[in-house]
Amino acid sequence: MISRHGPAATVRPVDASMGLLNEIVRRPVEPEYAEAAARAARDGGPEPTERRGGTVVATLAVTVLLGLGLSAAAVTLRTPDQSVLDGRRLLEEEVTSRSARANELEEQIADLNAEIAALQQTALAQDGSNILDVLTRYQAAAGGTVVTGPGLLVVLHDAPEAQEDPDGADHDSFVQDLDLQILTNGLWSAGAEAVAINGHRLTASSAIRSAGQAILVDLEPMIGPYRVEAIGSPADLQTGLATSAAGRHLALLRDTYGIVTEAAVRDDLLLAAATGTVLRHAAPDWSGNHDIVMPSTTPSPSAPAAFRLDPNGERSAL
Amino acid sequence: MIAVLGLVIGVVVGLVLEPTVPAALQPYLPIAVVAALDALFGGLRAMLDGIFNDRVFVVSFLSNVVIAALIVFVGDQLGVGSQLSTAVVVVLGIRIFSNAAAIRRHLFKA
Repeated sequence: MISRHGPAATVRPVDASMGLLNEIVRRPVEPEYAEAAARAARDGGPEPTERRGGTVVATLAVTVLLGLGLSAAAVTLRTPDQSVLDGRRLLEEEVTSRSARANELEEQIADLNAEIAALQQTALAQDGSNILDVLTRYQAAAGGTVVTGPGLLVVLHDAPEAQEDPDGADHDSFVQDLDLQILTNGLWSAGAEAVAINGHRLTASSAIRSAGQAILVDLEPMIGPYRVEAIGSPADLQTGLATSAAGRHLALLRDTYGIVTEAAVRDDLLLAAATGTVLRHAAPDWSGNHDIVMPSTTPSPSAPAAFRLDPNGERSAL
Repeated sequence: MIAVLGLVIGVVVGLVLEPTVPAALQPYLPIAVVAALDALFGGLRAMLDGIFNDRVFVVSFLSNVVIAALIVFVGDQLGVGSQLSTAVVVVLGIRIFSNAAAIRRHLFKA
């Protein structure tokens, strides 16, 4: 594209369609320079000096302004927009401080819950009725207290190809919410007294859902491997799980999708209390007798040695 | 020569004062700078050719910047802003390269 034939004058006939390219490539210098030079040579002699003074001032003024504009533009284009950087830094700071505050508040909630439980203990124990027994039994069933005892630990791993290449692997080679639902239902029907997934205690109103690739248990996201702990009679749990639909489902997962399941008997499982229990209804009881009539329950012969841990860390039977 | 002197003074003053460009003009700054560069290189080549003229230089500088910004503005209104600015940048870039090659030939006789 560089002109090898010198300035504009060329003897070759110029094709009409090449006009634009020729215009761009062969005449990049304003032809007015050449015309002005030719005119000056034609007119001859230096320009009259009395006109030069005004032209000089005007030229100087205009070019100073142009230079000012040019450097202003260059400076403005070079610096990144300060307001954008400031805004982002402000957001970062706010995110960190709010997260710290949220953690603080969560710890406060845990402390207050423990305090409430302790006060409840002492108040109800002094009452003399069977309220405390009823409460502890219901709480243990509902997942509101820490429970420890023997049981079964089932660990579900994603398929090996899913672990190596999470983005490209087939959706079916990941553990899904359906698998955890079937497993926990199988454990409940096999006689589990308390079930927790990755340390999160399940209650009667717990939900296990999928959101994208993450499994949400009660709105808490979890990633594999998934540790499902169930407190109950280890023998009953094992046989119950193996012979039920849940056991068949786990075998299917292993054979078809490569999802690995490990089951082990444990003597001393400790399940935390569920944090999501909400007080929905309270009514004062002004009658003198606070005894509660319990529905008759026959203790099952294979009742496991599950204990309830009160806030002071002492074990008491359920 | 007066024009070049004035330009240099203006650039120095601008670097010292660092004026802020109004936000409405900011989208047209890049194309204005490229057009100004084209006029500068044209003037430099004319100077080396020995046919430099103050008036032509100032007029070409001003008209380049104004017309380039105007083309981009009209393109924005019509919705072809990026394509038109690409075309302007292509043309100015070719001219800058041609002038630079001629200047190189003058300076280094190569």
